[in-house]
Amino acid sequence: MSDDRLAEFWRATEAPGADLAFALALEERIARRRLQFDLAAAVAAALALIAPLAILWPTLSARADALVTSLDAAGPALAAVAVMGGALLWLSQREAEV
Amino acid sequence: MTTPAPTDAELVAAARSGSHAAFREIVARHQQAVRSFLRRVTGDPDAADDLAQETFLVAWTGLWRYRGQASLRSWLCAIAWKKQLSVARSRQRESRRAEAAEPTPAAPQPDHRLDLAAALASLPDAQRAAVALCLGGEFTHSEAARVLGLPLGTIKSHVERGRAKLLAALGGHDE
Repeated sequence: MSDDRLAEFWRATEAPGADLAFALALEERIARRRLQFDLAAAVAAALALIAPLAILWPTLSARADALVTSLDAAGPALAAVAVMGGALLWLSQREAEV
Repeated sequence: MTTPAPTDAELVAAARSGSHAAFREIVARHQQAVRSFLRRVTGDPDAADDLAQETFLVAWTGLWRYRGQASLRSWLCAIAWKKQLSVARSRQRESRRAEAAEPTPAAPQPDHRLDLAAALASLPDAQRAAVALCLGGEFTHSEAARVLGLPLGTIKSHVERGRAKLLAALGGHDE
């Protein structure tokens, strides 16, 4: 008799064999967790790119400045070469037309 | 001729290699055992379902840790049991803090005519879990020992004593 009541109690506290609501709620939690993982991965990737750049920034900045200065010095010479090149090109085209 | 249903090991292997359908099947196959165990241990179906979802979430992220030494059902219930213990501990801490802040009147002493749910709730944590697994969930004593991380002899004595207390609550005699 007592065992029957015990068995009945176990049956009453048994979760359903199939439960769509439970499955859907779990799917939602998994999707949320996956999104968190994806975001964390994206942030980590961004940091992996930005961190070396930030560390190397003083060196890179100095190099860039040096490059700009050297271009400044070479600027008139480069401009003269460009003008001469343009002139030669124009002359050669004219000769071909004549 | 129908193809045989995949074994738990096959489902685990598929889920590990990224098959969400395989993980869904694992959930469908074992949700009842995990939720029933937690319902009996917590005495609260909503809290039990919440813990069960947490359990499957932990399983989803940590499936690589499953080595196949225990059954998948036991592994999942072991996760559920650890979750339940940690929730129970934090609740105890909170209630201790609340008691220190504001003394509350003593809880009423248990009645002799406790119903089974109350009798089950009155058992110590490990004893309640052992009873829920072995008497309610049809786990073997060895399986329960694996789930709860206790020696086999302790499980046997927990189940025996727990059963006697439940029968006593029903006013019956354990023979």
